[in-house]
Amino acid sequence: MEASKVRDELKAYIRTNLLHDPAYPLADDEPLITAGLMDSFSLAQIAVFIETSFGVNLPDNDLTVPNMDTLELIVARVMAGPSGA
Amino acid sequence: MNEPREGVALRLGRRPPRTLLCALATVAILLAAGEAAVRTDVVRRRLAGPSVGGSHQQISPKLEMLDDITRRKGAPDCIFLGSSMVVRGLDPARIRVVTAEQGGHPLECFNFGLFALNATGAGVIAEILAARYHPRLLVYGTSFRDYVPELGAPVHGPWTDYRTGRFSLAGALIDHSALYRHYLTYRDFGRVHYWADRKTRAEFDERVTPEGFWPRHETEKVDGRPREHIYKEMYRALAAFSMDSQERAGLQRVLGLRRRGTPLLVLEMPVPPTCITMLPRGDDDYRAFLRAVEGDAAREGVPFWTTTALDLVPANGWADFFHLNQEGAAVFSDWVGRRLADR
Amino acid sequence: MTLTSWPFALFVAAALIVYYLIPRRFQNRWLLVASYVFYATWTWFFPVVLAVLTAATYTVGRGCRGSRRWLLAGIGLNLGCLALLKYAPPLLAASAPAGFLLPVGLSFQVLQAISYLVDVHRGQTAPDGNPWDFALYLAYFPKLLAGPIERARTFLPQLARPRVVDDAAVTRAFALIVIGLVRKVVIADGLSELVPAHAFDDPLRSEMSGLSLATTLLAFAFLLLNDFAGYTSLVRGVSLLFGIELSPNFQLPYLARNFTEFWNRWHITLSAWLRDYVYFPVSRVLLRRNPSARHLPNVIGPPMVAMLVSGLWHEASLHMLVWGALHGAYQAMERVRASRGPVVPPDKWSAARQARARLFVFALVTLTWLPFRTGLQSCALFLWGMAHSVAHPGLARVEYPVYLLIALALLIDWIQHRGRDELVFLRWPSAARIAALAAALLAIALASLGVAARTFVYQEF
Repeated sequence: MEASKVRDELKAYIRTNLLHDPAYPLADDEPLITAGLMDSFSLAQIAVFIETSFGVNLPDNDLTVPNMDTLELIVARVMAGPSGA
Repeated sequence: MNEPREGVALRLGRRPPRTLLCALATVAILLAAGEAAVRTDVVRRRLAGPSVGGSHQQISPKLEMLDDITRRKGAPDCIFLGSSMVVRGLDPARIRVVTAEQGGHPLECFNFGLFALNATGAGVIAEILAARYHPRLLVYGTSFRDYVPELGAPVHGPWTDYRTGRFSLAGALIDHSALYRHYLTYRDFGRVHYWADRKTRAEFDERVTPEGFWPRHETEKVDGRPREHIYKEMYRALAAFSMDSQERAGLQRVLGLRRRGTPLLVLEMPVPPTCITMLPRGDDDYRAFLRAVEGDAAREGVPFWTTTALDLVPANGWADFFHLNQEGAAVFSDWVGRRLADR
Repeated sequence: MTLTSWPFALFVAAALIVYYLIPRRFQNRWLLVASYVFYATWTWFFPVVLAVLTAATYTVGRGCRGSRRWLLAGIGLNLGCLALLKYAPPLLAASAPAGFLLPVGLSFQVLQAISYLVDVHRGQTAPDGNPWDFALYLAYFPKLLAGPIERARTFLPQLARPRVVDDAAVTRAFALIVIGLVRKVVIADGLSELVPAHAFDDPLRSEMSGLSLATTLLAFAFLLLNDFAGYTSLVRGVSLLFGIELSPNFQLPYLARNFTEFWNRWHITLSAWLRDYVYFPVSRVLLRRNPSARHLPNVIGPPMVAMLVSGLWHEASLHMLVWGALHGAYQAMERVRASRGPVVPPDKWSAARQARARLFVFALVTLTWLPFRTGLQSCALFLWGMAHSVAHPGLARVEYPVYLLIALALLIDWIQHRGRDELVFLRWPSAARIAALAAALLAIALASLGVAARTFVYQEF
């Protein structure tokens, strides 16, 4: 599982399904939740997408703003695997 | 400084908490200045009358009037206490004249009657008046209505509680701080009842004499039985009349002041004979009331002056079945004054 | 013991003195003892229930990791305790045993216990090896009555970590306490005096004009916020004096521009609990069946279930379920609307749009406080009374000081909002700080004189 592939798929998913704007110029370090682009409840959708697309199960407690506020952070969390190590 | 190895360490510097100390000093200075200011005539004249709070609105103005008299002329010789029957029925100005004419020495009195004051409330107020003003005589004007709880208005509040032994910070402040009493007057500014209360107070200030007497000028014929549709609430409250034990305890609280050095007199406030027909057993109930009061008063060595049987009040002396009008009050006050002069 | 009373202040002072005099290794034990003593001032029954719940949860927690059976047993135990003591008596009514008392704060303790068990099961938290620290986690007196709902993984490490309480911490603590007292004693208790006792339960009684009913509802909205926010601020300040940080619970919720934002700002710890233990699990189950974000059950299900649970948690009554359902519906409708086009974050909206949104959310939230406060029939009568009296507002029957207190509440909110810091007052110039503190102290003193200390609204849940 390559980080760049994860990034590209996540970016596409977020732009289409959560921001409802496939052409949105989403930067890797752009705040998603704190900037109000999506709310913390959307993290459940991201978690299920990650689960089905990459086979990584993120516990509900990991779905927090500090862990998941930017694309960069989400990718890092996915690459760290289920245990977060 | 090193972190503690375990637990919580308290590490406070030596500097005093400047902001807190300055804030407390600011509050203290403002309050002191305010207290000094409201005690001056210049400021007091511009403010509405102070309030002692509590549930009965007439206590504050009556206290203010009494304090004013006390400041100017010293505490009155005699204070009358009772319900609206006393408020309307005893004119201290006439009593002063009569006692001067008869006894050579005018008796300065103050009418501390309060609307709907029942015996329980009278017990509280009497205690306060005795301790605060040390009158040479406290006269409690009573009627059978005073022993029916539903007909009475409560007098409780932080100040009355404080003055009768239940300490609270609010009560102490009301008692000692003029600034706080004036604050209480304005505290409810903007509330629904505020302007109505101010209007009531203004009417009170306009109509009540400096000695606390509030005359009524209308006359009602009292030769027939009081009409039930007009006195519906009164009939309902009196339907099962008996001397309520708690109210009677209030009377005994008044009478108990004699043992603590306050000379007392209990006075039956007159009612027309037709009023007594409101009681379920008429004369029997009324005599039972008189016997009860007489007995309690006698046990404490307090004189009890009865009046209704004497038929003192002329036919045109009644404002309604319970209250004397100005003519009736004049006659009754003259009688009371003559008897007081003879004591 | 009411938290705004002198006995509580003396209790805290005594607890603090002992806390800093005893050897540090006994400090947590002392806090546990003090917490149980505090709880026992209501009745012996409360600490007994808490002790039993604590022991049972701790024991189950030891076997919970990876074991669904133990987890379900633990959750069932806690919910069963809540059902027995909170929900059963009103349903049993006349047949409920005499003297059956709902321990104050039980609803909050149960949520914390359940979060501990779930986190242990998921491996997010290790089962605590120290039963006394775990007992303190549930019993810690500043948060015992009405939260904040702390997570074991943030609270327990604080107990183990050495800490220093210095001038800055004491200053913060004091500031939080003062702000809490202003919100609770001056604003909330002041508004409570101005709301007629019968206003919600018997709204059509005379003297309640249309405008006075509307004023009453507004008063209640600000009363509820400032009562609970005041409580949270107060207990956070008290807790800081012991070197323990509690989570904030409110962040200017009436400035929210949508309902999701509102629930991220109102009773934050409860919202976070519902999000982590109800919303996310329900979302995942539904999304696994159909991953489309536009699939209607995916949109409506999670917020509705979460808010219905919230309603039920507050009270097992129809009107509370309606309250929860309404908020669930608001969030669901927002998500449906948001799914229709590109998302524009509220911060990027024009000032006018943000103001309109704030007013809209505030108006709906305020109206929705009606079923929170009273039964459905009274709600209907209240609304009818407001609508019916529109032509005759009855200006003379409005308690105008309500607006003064609301203005004070909004002023505090606005200052905190502009300063982006609940303690922005500490950064003011010296003279302004002194004036503000003097005014606050005087207002607290005047407001508390002559009025018996009132319990907090959320203490009743």
